[in-house]
Amino acid sequence: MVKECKVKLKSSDDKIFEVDYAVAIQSQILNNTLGHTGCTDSALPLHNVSSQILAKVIDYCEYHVNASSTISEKDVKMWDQEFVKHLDQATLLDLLMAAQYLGIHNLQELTCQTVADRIKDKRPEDIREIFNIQNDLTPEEEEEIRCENEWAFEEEVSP
Amino acid sequence: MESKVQKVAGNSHASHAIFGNNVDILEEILKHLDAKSVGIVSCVSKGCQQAAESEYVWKIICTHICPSSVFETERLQSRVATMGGFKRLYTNFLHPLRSYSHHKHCSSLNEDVIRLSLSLFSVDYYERRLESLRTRNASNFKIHSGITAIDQSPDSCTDIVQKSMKENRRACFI
Repeated sequence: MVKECKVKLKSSDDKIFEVDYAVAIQSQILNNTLGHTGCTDSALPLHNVSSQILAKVIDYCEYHVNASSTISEKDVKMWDQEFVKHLDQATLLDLLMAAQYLGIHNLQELTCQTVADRIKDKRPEDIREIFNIQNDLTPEEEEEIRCENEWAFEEEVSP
Repeated sequence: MESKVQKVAGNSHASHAIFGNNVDILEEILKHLDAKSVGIVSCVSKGCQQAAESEYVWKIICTHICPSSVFETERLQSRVATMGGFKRLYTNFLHPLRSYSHHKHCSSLNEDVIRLSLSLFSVDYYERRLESLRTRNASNFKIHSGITAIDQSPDSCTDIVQKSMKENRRACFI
């Protein structure tokens, strides 16, 4: 049975978004909540997601609800790549955290893969810079970890 | 460091702080990386170091570079976990063999390299166990025999050591 009702979502900055039931239940959290309460007129509060990010999440879910039956896998992948390509680091991280919070598995995988692609082949200093991660290691601790992982810092040696 | 954090607008400040320490999310990211990158990321922060030690991540890395599904069987996974874990298997055995093999530029290893790594990994495990048994026996020998060992002839010393080892072996495998 496909539910036809609309679901109201409220972002952390109190903006209301209205989505189809099928779009909303792509989030495991919302799926569970709606399973208990059913469709109501009151908006579901999402305290950890701003309106800017929620709008993007909804874009993603709306595309994917229609994509599963009508669009080829290759085209879906291309759309996904376009979706994340021009995101700045801050937005990408916010989207990742929102996907994790809402339990949207494929969006979480997509954002994690994108972050991984941006980290690959970078030095630790660059990774900290890009993602604004505080270095909470003492110089001694960092040196110890580098020694333990020396193999990762070696240049490839030809036999 | 503080001024850099302040430059980030809105919610992002909070989510960056969470991200750097959120080991679960870091693991989900690291599982998409190759082994070398995970090694490098471990130096970024304490949270990254913890995530880079995760067996969950290393199991996936080892599975990806193996052409067949050998690492996907539960039996092998529990064996590897008992004998030291996937991270040790990769860094001490798969990686060095991979560097010296003809296929070092390939993303996957051939079956011979994998089999050899697993054999050496098992040998390494039993060597470490034997070493810890020897260390335990050596300290027990000192306790049991005390100063009198100095007065004993070499033959009697051997008897004492063998008796002590027998007792310990029985204790170890109970």
